[in-house]
Amino acid sequence: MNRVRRAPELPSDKVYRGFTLIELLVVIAIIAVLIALLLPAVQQAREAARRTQCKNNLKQMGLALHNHHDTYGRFPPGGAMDQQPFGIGTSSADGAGWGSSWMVYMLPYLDQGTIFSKWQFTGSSGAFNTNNTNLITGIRIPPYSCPSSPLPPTCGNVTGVSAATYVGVSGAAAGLIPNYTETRINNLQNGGSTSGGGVLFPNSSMNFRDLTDGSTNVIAISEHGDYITDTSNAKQDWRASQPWGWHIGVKSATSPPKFNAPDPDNRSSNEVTIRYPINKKTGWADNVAGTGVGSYVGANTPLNSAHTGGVHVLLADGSVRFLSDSLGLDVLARLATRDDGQVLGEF
Amino acid sequence: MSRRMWLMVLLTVCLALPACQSGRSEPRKYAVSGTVTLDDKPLADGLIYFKTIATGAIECLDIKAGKFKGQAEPGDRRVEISSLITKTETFDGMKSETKQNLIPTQYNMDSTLTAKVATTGSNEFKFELKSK
Repeated sequence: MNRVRRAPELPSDKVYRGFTLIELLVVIAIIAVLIALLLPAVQQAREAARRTQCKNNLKQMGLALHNHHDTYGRFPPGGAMDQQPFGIGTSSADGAGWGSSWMVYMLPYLDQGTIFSKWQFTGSSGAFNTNNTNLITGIRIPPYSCPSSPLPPTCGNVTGVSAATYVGVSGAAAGLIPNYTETRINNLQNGGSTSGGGVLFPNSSMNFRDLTDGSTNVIAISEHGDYITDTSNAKQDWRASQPWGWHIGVKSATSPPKFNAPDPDNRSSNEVTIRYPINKKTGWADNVAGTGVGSYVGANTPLNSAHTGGVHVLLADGSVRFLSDSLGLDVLARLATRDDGQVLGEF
Repeated sequence: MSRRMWLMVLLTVCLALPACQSGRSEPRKYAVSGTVTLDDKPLADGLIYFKTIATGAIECLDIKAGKFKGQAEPGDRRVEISSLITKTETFDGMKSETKQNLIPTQYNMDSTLTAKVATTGSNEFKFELKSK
């Protein structure tokens, strides 16, 4: 087999062709465009990770709710006064004072049993009990804050105590659900409209039997983690735990519709009653007495989050759903009410 | 070479074309204005809300020297009027500033005032409130 060897080309025959300036510029431009396309995608991936973290927080709280139910045969109170069965007082007289919120009662089931075992359910446990305030100063309970939330980590009035970005859902205000009348309502003189129709409301002790709509159709916990823009375009932190922290409960012994004794100050921190659509974050005046939205704990600040397009909610069965901003207020109100008996459509 | 370059330029342009994002459309709003008097005197400072309870729609406008002006969604709206003064509560050491309403509840929490915001013409309203 004869091989024909080709003579090597002479160097002088070779044509050296580089890239012209224009070609280089075009290539660089394309690369720049590709990177510009990529960068928002990276940001979105980061936000997606934060959303997953937020969902996981709610999932943890769902497990904690169920573990609390397994132990006590009921869900924790949305906010309690320090009286039995939630505190150590036996009557409204010796239990008077601000009690603790649902977030305190769930601590043992969120790996925070050390705080819970030292917690004193007496002497305004959620506000002025110095033992309790010292216990949680500088402590952040991880599941209680959503990583997407731009709000400050600490509350306004108690130095070093955190604020939460989640809120218990107490029910819905009157007049939102067609063919159903919500009567368990208190219009608070300085707090907005508080309902007793949900799962976590003042001095509540609900159990699965009480959720006659089915636990898959009732919201227990939602997000409350973004700024509200007021009528002068200033950003305001008006979430339910902002002024006094995540641990404060209520100061009246009873639930709506009798949530007004013995004290005129019956605001309900760390709880929200549905009255406005999800993520309605603009155009509010500071008016807790009228609209229930404003500084110093309004009961009706809309569910809101920094996630695009809606909020995560925890249903009472322990599942986490993303509810869109465009969800009708009637559907939202049915979801917030545990026993309205209305057929719930797709949500 | 020239054709290759043009292809590259075309590719760049195609990649650079941003996807058009259409924002969610807010309901259209219409201009409203009017006057508010309390006991026949212009209400110096306050807030007027146009509400639709069932949908949660709410617009808040300032009342200055008895006059308000702004935009609201059309339809039969419930109107609520508030005039707030800041008071410091002293109970239980909280020393909260709370805002109390000077206007009786039949004009806000339990309001029976209504306004029909029309899509044509000037929406001029007049609300005469009585403090008792």
